[in-house]
Amino acid sequence: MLIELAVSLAGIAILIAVSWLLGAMKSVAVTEEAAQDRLAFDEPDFDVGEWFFGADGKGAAAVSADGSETAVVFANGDGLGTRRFRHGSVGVERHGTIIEFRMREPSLRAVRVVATDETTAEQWVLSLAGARL
Amino acid sequence: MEFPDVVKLAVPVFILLILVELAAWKLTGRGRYETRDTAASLIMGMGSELIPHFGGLALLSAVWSSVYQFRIFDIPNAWWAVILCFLLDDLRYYWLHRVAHERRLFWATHVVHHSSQHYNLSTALRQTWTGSVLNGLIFKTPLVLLGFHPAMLAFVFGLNLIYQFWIHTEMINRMGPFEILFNTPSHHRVHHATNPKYLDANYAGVLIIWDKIFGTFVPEDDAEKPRYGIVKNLGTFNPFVIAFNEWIGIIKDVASAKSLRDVIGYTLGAPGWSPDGSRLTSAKIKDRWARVKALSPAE
Repeated sequence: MLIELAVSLAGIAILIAVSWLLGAMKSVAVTEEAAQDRLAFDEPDFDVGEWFFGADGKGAAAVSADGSETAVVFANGDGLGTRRFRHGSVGVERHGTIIEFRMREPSLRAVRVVATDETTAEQWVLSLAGARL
Repeated sequence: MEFPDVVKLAVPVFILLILVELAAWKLTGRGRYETRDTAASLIMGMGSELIPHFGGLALLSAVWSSVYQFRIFDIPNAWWAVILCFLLDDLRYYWLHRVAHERRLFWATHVVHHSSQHYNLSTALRQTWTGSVLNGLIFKTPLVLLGFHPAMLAFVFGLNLIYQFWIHTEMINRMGPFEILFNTPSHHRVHHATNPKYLDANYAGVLIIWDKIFGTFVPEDDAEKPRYGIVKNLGTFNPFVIAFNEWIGIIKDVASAKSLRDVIGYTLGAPGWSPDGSRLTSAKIKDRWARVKALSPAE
């Protein structure tokens, strides 16, 4: 069994190395187009009122037109994911230019959306966390 | 009749074929690979083979040996019996697979296989760490009781598993008349897709006829490219989180349950079930999609 384990580990190491050498280590940017496309696919009935696109391309958030819900878009490697939640059900904190959504899931602790400057971040966090509270 | 361990023999072929697919992806641009995703899938695959050795296989072996003493028929180790066993096992696989998508307790083990947003040969190896022994006890034991020798069963399980490896690819498009009877890359792409029209379809292992008989067959639509993954995609490649994410969700839900009905719903209800109906099951996702589509003038 130890020999089989060693062979499997060697095989895994080779495949990971080859995929890396072939340029498969990729991180997709959460661009406006990509975020809108992903949210429209995952949550087709989410009526977006306002978008907040992270300056670092790693996250985006949207508030629904009626202000009752928020959606976030995040990147994981070359794939995107989304979460949708009611206002107030997820903690939103600002750390400088970073707005952090505390998701508290094992697979997704937090989603961060980075504003260009602190003034913008303060405006965003008011819209994302404070408007309906 | 001797039955070889076909999965063990196939491992070098799996590795070789993934290397070939990686090269084909680089040369043609077809398909998608991401290194961390591939690493996670391969580690999940290794874990799924390794973990049952820590007691699970011994338990299965003991149960099957005992049950075999009480077999209904004396089925010989003959070639026709192997074919019959293969067919019945494939039917067994269809129902196990269907239950694994429709009941959350089983989904918690199977979701691992669907957690990648990629569809390539490495995805085939992204397998559960928590389900193989339990699934074996519940769904395979009846075949032992029927009279198939456990060694023959292990052999046909292996063949079924190997067959399902090569269909996890975007390199092969359609396969003509072969698609009428057999599960193919096209049929299985539909199964891995999260597009509402493709949800809960094509559960087949080898023979697609089971889906056609039981009404779960959906053909791949060239106008709607499959988007792979799960309806709430994970934000990590950590194999431990991939393995236990849904289990943690179940534990949290059961801990917060206010009644026995809620406990049953959270464990044996459809994935996405919640007492107030605020979460989305596949059926609700399909309904929502139909509503949105009906309202959309572009459609």
